Amino acid sequence: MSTPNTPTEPIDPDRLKEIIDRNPSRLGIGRSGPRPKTSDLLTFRADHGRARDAVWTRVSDDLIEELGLYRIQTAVADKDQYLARPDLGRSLSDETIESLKTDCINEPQVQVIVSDGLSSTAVETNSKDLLASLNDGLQQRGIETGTPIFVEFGRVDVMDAIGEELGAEACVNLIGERPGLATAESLSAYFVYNPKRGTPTAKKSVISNIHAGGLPPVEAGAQVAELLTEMLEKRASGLDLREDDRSFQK
Amino acid sequence: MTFGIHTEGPESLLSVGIDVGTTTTQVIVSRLTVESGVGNNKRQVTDREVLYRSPVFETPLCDHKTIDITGVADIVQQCFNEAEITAAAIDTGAVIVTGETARRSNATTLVEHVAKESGEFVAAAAGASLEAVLAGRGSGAAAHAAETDSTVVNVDIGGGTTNAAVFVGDRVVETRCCNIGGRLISFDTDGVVTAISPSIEPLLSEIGFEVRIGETLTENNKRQIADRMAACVVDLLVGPPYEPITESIAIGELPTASRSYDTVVFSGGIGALMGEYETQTHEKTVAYNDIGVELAAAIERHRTVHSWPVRSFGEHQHATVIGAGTATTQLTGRTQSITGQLLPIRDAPVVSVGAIDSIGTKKELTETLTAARDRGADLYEAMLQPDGEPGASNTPPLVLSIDSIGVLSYDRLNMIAASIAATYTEPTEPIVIALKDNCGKALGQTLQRVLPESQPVVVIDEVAVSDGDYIDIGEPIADDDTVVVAVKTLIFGE
Repeated sequence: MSTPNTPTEPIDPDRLKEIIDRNPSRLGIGRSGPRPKTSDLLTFRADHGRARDAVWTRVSDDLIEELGLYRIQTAVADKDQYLARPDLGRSLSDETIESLKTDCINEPQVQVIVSDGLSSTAVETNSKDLLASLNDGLQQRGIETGTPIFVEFGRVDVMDAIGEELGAEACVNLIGERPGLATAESLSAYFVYNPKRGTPTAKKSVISNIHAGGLPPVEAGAQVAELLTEMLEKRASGLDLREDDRSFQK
Repeated sequence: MTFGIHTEGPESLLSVGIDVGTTTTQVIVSRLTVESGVGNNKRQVTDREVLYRSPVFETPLCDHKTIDITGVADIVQQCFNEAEITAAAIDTGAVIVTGETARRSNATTLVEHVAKESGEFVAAAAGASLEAVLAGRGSGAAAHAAETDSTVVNVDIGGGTTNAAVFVGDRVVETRCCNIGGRLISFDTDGVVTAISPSIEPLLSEIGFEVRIGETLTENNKRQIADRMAACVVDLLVGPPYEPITESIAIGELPTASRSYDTVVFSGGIGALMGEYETQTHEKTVAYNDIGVELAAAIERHRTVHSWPVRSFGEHQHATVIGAGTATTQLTGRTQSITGQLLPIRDAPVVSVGAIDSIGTKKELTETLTAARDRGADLYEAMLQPDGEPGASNTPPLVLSIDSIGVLSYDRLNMIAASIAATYTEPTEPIVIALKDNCGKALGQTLQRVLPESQPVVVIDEVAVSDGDYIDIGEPIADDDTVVVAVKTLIFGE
């Protein structure tokens, strides 16, 4: 978010600053009569524009190539349809399934997927550091990974379809989050063990808020690797992974 | 929340607080509830419940210079029995040696002994400033300042020292400490002086009193002395300017700016007596056998104190021990990285590397880290035993604390890991790093890749520690990744 105005003549400027610094919201920006100040209005619109751009732009081919990702597309034809038909964002065409099976490693322990989701910006900003750190973490633990895949027009649950078709033991989907006015760069990592189409959300895990101002992507990579390791050890994800803890009392 | 889509339930830690003060020794046992914060992945202590509160014991002394360590240990054991807990069940907590006791010759031995006997993770701490802050947390003053976003001073007056801590909102801004306390002059049942602390002598000579052991003080004499002590306490709180006598009995530096307080809270033994002033009897004065009751009365009748907004939140005598038992534990982010079975670590001294965000090359960073290590070795020379075997279990590792890493990129972490590896060339030497940033796992993972497998590494993150701090790092709680970190400040007999 761009830096907003500070109000004129606050009663306690130090305290106001503390409150503003603690919170990414547009606090204490003052006003002009009943209206926001021009610069604040422009900032707001610029942030809104950034959020829209994050949804409407595409992840660049250069990045996909640089990261060495195998590119596929869901059953969605374009952005308009992507927004209108979440179901298609989880589906793969027969041709795509065929090429996945031919070109990608079958039956990996871990299938890493990157999806544009609702923010291409999030993928552009975070995936390089995250993947580097994630690959180190998996490699150091001797976990076999499949061919890393980029999905255009992907929803979270596209990992169920991809994982099922490739026979992966576990999947992680690094996906751009719905952008907000505070940041358009937030990425999440969703996890499923034993992916099958229609796996309920309760069986999925997530590490969210991955961006420079939240969980730093390089740290997220290490955490994703660790959670995947735990999933493989316990053969579970989502609520099943945490079931034992709930009765924990020391 | 990091892992799982649902909210994780709370966990609890059993925490003990032991306060060995000038006059009294107290023990509390409390349960700390640990939960994930909303909107972040940091585990926090969300609730503190006092399960057991000991009676107020007289601190056992062998003579006026030596604490009876066995006596203190017996008290602690008796309290554990009454609370129906064993040392093994204790997760965290603190032993704090306060007031004049911290100046006794065997204070260090005492805290180490009691801490070791009281479970794996009990921190040992002493020092007037720390005591002031703990008392303010235990009395409810700190919470009141945070809730009302106001300036609150907690004035903890014990047997030997007065320790005031000023809280503004949720921060501690300063401490004001001096040698005024109720046990500085003791009497027998007939009012004959049995002991005078040397720390009260400047004040006595200023008002022209020469009190000797064996003399009898009249009620009027006691009153005069107590009034002068009360005036010093007031001066300590309102200065600068300070009277020369206040400066001469101050502990540590006094603040250079005066303050006004929205609320004043009195705690400690004297704070408790002040609450009871109305019902005070002669018998009570005798029962304590010291000038404490007179001092409490003198503070209550002091004109300036009358103008203050004095409040009580129900904890007086136990304020410090509650603070010690509930407020000394920090939890790390749940994102540290640990190898080599290093944990638990006890009494690891911290040396601050500072911010490294402007350092761009491996060469430069290696030099900075090496300089910090050398400085740490000088600072803690006696403790680190330079010719001892590195990694020996009795030698705590030096903790390098790094403030701001700068841009958290993969390439930068590789550079930092390479610099750390270049700084620690001995392949079995333990590496302990404390980060302020949230990147403990990433750095730990990167270090493991570049270091030999034999090298034990602990990286904790989201903790703020610096020079002069010692930390204990516990084993991870539950199968969670959070570890308990107790930060200790050991300052004896300033």
